Amino acid sequence: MQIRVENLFFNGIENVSFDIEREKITGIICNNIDDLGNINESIYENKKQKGIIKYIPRYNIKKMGLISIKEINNMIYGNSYDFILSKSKEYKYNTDKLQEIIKIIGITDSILKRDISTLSTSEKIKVLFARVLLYNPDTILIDNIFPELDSKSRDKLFKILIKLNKFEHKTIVISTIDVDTIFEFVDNIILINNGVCLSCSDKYSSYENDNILDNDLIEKPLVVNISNKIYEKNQIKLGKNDSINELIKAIYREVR
Amino acid sequence: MSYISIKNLNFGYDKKRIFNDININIEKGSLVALTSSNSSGKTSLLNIIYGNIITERTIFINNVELNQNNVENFQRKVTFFTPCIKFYSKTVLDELLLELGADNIINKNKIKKILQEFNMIKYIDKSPLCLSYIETQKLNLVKAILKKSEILLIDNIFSYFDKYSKIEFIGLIKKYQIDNGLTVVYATNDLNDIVFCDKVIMINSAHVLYDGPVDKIYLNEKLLKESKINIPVLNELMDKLKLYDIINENVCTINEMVDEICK
Repeated sequence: MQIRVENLFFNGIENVSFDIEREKITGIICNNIDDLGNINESIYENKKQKGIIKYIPRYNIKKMGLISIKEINNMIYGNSYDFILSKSKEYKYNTDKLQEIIKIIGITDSILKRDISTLSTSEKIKVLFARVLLYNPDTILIDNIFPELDSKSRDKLFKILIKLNKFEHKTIVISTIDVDTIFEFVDNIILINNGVCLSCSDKYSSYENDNILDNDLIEKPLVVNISNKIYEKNQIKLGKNDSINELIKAIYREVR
Repeated sequence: MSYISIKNLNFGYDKKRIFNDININIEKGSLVALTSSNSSGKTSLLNIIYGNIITERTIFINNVELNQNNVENFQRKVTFFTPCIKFYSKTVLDELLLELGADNIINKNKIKKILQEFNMIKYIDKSPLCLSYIETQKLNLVKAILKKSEILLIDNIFSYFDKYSKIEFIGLIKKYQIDNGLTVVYATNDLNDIVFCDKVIMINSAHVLYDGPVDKIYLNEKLLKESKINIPVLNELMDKLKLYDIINENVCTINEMVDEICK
């Protein structure tokens, strides 16, 4: 699904326009936690006070999956197994892939049997993720859940998201306040600062305009920041690197 | 003498063992970080200390066992911060008056003064449901101050703070902790959040992996790997650059790292 937002006003969001490209992984980076929630809520539920949100093809909530802290906080009753099945049953979709999804995400039998209220936040995230994958939406929105996950769980989640994007052509939107967590994994980045959109382009271009970024005190990804500073100091170009491993290879190649 | 003592705690859900005979002591007036990888029992431990989960003869406050009979009294001295906290009074003022009892001029002035300190006076007549996430947590802190809480239990609330709000909020907690000799225990899985604490308790595989000062953790690579908690991205890069012999010294800032790389 492609989502085009034009002059959106919603709660604190003011006159924001951006494009979420179909079958890409897009990161939305905000400096303000409430903006993140408002943008996701607006896109997921087609809510706005002013402006246009165009969905291509047309808006259908059954084609959207949201994994957010708000959803997690609303998980209160019942056991995990019933919760995972709940949306698919509501939409009358088949649930043949349940076992496969449970295995991919790494949900144990013990988690499946337990009452949701006894699960840790990271276990709730897994259960919510399984529910979304089971009803198989075209677009998956992930709202700032990464601070809740340790590095091992994050890596696993990103691997699944990349496979979903690459092999099942899902559109994936990941919003966060911490660009370093997602920079390696996204294609495009939308930068929002205090309710205003500063840029919307491929991930490297989003961090090229120093005037805007410095003026708004936007932090660049560490890998970009180090590359820029090495260039300023020694005029050595390290190229475009999106991960720590890539940066180290470039430093080894160019500096050493 | 320790204020909160956890003695020989065994606890689990279903067949999963969360704590296997663990012992922890927390001093009065200290700020303690509780850290571990996911699903290792941080929230469960806070719930056990608070008395939401009662475990027999394991939790002692000032040497008195916490049990079904005294838990209500104990909870009056504690404020619990969770990510899903909500307040249902008509206005922020009404919510805060609940902590002071009488609706009179003295109490109202007291509330106005503290809301001004917290830069929240503009919300005094608004519904608490209209507050943002961060403002809701601030309101809970204001309530804790008015209630004269002796213990704050904080469960991973900083995950939803932006960097600057986090620094501001931590500053407020630290000030209140020092001024009032408050005991604060807070759970996090992010090493960035523990620098301002007096000590760190690290739990892994149902055991206490580390219980000691903050500074020693950053230098203990083996411990950090074993704990599987998130280390700051600059530290991750520094460790790898040292591994490949690109830098030799420890660095604390991006500029220091660039200087080292370009040496």
